[in-house]
Amino acid sequence: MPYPQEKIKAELKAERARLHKLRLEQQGLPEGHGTSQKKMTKQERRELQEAQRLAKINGQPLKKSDSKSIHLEDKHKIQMQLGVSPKDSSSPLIAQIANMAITSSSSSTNPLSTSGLTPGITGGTGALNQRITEKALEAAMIQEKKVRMFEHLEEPNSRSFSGPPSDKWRGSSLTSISEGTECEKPVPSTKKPIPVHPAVKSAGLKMACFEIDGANERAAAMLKAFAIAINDYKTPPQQTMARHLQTYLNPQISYFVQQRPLTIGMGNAIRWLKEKISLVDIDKDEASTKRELISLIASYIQERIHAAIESVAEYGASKIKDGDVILIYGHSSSVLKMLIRAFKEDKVKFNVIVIDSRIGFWGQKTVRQLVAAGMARKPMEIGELVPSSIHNTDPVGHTNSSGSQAQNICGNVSYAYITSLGYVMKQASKVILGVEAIMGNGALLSRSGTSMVALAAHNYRVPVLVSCESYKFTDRVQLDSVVSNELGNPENLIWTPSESKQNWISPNKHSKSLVSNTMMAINYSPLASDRFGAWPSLNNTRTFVDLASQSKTLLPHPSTNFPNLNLLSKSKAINNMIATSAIGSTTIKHTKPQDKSTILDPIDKQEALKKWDLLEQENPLAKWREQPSLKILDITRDITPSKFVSVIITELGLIPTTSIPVVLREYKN
Amino acid sequence: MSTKDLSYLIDNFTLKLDQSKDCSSLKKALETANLIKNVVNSSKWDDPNTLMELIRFTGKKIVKTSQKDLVLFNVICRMTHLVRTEAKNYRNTLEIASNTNNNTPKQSGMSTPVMGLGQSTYNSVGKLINLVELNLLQQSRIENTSRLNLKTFILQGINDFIEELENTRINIASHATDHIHSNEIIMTCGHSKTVERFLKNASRKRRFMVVITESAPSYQGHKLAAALASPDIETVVIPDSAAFAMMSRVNKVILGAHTVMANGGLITNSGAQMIAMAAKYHSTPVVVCAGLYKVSPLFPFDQDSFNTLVSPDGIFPYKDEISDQIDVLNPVCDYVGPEYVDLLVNHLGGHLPSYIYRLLQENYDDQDIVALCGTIS
Repeated sequence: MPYPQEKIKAELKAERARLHKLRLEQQGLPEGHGTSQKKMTKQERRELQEAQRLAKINGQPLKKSDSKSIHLEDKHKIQMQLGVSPKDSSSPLIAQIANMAITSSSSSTNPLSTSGLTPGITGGTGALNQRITEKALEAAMIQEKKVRMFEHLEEPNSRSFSGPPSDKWRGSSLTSISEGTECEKPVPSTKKPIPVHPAVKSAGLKMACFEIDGANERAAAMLKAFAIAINDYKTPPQQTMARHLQTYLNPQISYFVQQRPLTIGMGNAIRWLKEKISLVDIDKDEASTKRELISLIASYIQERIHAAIESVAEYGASKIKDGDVILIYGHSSSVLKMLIRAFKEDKVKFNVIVIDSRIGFWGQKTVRQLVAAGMARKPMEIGELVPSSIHNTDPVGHTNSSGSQAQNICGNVSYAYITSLGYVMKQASKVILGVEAIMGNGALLSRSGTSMVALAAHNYRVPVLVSCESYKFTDRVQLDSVVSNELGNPENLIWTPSESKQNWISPNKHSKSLVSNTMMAINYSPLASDRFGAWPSLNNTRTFVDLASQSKTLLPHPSTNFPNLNLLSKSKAINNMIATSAIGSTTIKHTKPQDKSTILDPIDKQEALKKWDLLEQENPLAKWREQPSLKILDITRDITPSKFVSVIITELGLIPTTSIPVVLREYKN
Repeated sequence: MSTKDLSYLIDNFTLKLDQSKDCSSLKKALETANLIKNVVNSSKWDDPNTLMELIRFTGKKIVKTSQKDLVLFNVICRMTHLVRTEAKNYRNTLEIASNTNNNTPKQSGMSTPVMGLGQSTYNSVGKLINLVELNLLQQSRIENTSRLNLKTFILQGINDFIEELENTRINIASHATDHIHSNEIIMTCGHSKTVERFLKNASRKRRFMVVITESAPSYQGHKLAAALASPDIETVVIPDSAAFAMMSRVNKVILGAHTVMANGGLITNSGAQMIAMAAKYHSTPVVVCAGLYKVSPLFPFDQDSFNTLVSPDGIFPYKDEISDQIDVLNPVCDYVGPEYVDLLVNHLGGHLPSYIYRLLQENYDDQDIVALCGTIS
């Protein structure tokens, strides 16, 4: 289904597709490697299968698309380049790669040691072989870097993996929306795949890159996208809308799931929508049914989400009293609304402590919004400086003492990391938390760190108020955070922010939008583009990076025959650095392949190398790929036991955690 | 050595201390001990009291410059205690020698304070101190003649202490296998060299997994993880926020400490309190590895008394336009109360937090603490 977005980028897409096909053609399909298989152990065989699977996935679109139309000349040319005859180009190579993967993953042996055995992978074969090995190595790497306890959880973004591996990244990237079509999962029940609606795609991608984050925003955005999708829906001939609309929506829903796991609120909304669709009167005409559904969705967004937030804010604000010190964690739209309401409308005099944590630094967003609402103290003028206030080095003094800063006693905003909770918690008189969902057993499902804040509050005997709209209640129960969770990209933890290290990206003054704030934490990575993709940056192969890796000089040590894991990631990172700097100056879209190579002039590369070395020094985890037993785990959600919670603020009023199943029951009837 | 030389020595030392902010507390302790050794070695003193005054003078100057670093304070206190004990022992031996020579019965009044020093100073402090000082004065004339001998005794004592310091990590690490079983999941935070050595030592005989919180904003956890990861230790780095989520699967929490306070509580890197709380909630034992030199005779009367708030630079960018409208709190330390600590491991073995007072009695004198305490604000 042609949508305008795709037309705009058709040119770029065509070029990429051509290059992609060429690559696939070079790789061929894996066949006949039985001889080597017999000697392998069970684990080794599995590794090999993994490698084959990857190769096959590469091959798949080849079969689907018009593979025969690829110019034979091109194919021949490349094979000549590689110095490989057409017949033996595929199978031994794959076996070798598999071996590589095995040696690198199964033990701590250096992949370099095997380099002598594989003269085919050196020198002239260049970029192609490197790419294939990269993929095998990467698969092995993902396997190796898994924490066993969390093996049951999906790898970050692997759910968006349904196209060829190289599109894994593109599938969830904003920058290449045109590639998205390749990611569609064919729905088994229908012969023709139902395309994902661009509105859904747009919302899904924004969620994948955390531009839309927060349970409420995500649920609202999803429902809005569904409304648009239903609006554009046309019942195919010989189908009834009531029946077919369901099948039409399924790929839209699964697209959202692919991008990021749904929140409980989203799941509840989908269930509600499905129920409404199933209740559609078959005899009604299409237009009025659509109208009815759209208005239903609009009212759901309005009543269950927006109005609910408002009334939660109202109830919550009534609990904030003069002199309170409210401690909040991260960012929550309803908590923020509550505080601003109490400050502006109810004119309550209170202070706020914002607790923040890696990786998102959502608390900074909260702080900004509080300051924008007028909560912070005014910047101090030189005239106001009196010795006493200078020497009052205890910054907590303002919160509980009526000392020299009496005039500033209300509306102060403090900001601290979660590690200093023990230090700040004793100042707080109330803790207000926003959550993603509340389980049937009263446990809170929320961003990780919430449980720590609630625990500290519990230990310091500070009441914990939880704001939650009732559409986020669920029957599901969960006791701990390990059984079900969402894993983040581990590579995001490698880079540490510090102004002294010049790693902060100062927020753009002109765009105080969501993106600039929430992406701040992400941008200081030299692998910034990796943020969007599956975590090993090896996947992030863009055309210019491919071209770059063809030049042999890119490997820091040309003497090594086989790039070991470190070099792979390092060279990739350096490529990325160079590429991103190049994007700044030139528009890559319009340059021809020959011109692109000029981007990588040696000076830039040296600079990039220097920068990388510096980064490696400052961030000891940068070399984590080299250390097989070093793993990084980013758990993004946690479960807060219900005993830490004093009260839940919903639009229905203030209820205890034990009332969740009761409320759910009421809703059902 | 003149007073001028001495103050030059001290200034040099404090300057060096100032410049090396990241250096480990063990190194600081060693440097301090060496400085005192230098003072004992090269300065003129006729009797132990003069020496004691010299050490106190040095100690006051050092402690003043590094206010919150209690390790230096501890070392100075132990040094004065050492001098006092050595002087007494020496006098005792002289006594015994003269007694045996003269074949006269041993004066029991003289030996009692020596024997009872450790236990009884706390009971009747003032009285006893006076008695001891008086005794020292009386004896000084005899000792004058054999000052060199006493000096060698004291230097020997200091050398023993330095040796204790140097071996403290190895000795603590040798207890590792008593506390870690195979396939265990251990959580730690920050980067304590003692803990690193402890875990590495355990990995020689056991295979286990270490979960490390990264300890923002210093991100010391990253360093520890990079240092620890080896085929025998599966190392997992998690963000600080995930500590509670992971705690349900953790068997043991092993922490390092900046200082162990007199009540058995800890001054540690920020974030440790949260982990200790989470451990307590999950009934996970908390083991603290800290050398004896970190055991401080001071009590944390207030949670914040030994904490420092440092530049917010690391957690909120200065460049940010709203940075002057909000308060950014960046405490370096955290206080972990004795109720969260299950075991304190030092080179002697494992102790309960409630046993700390005994270690204090054996290693410190109240009068030194009182004398030096004035310099700590």
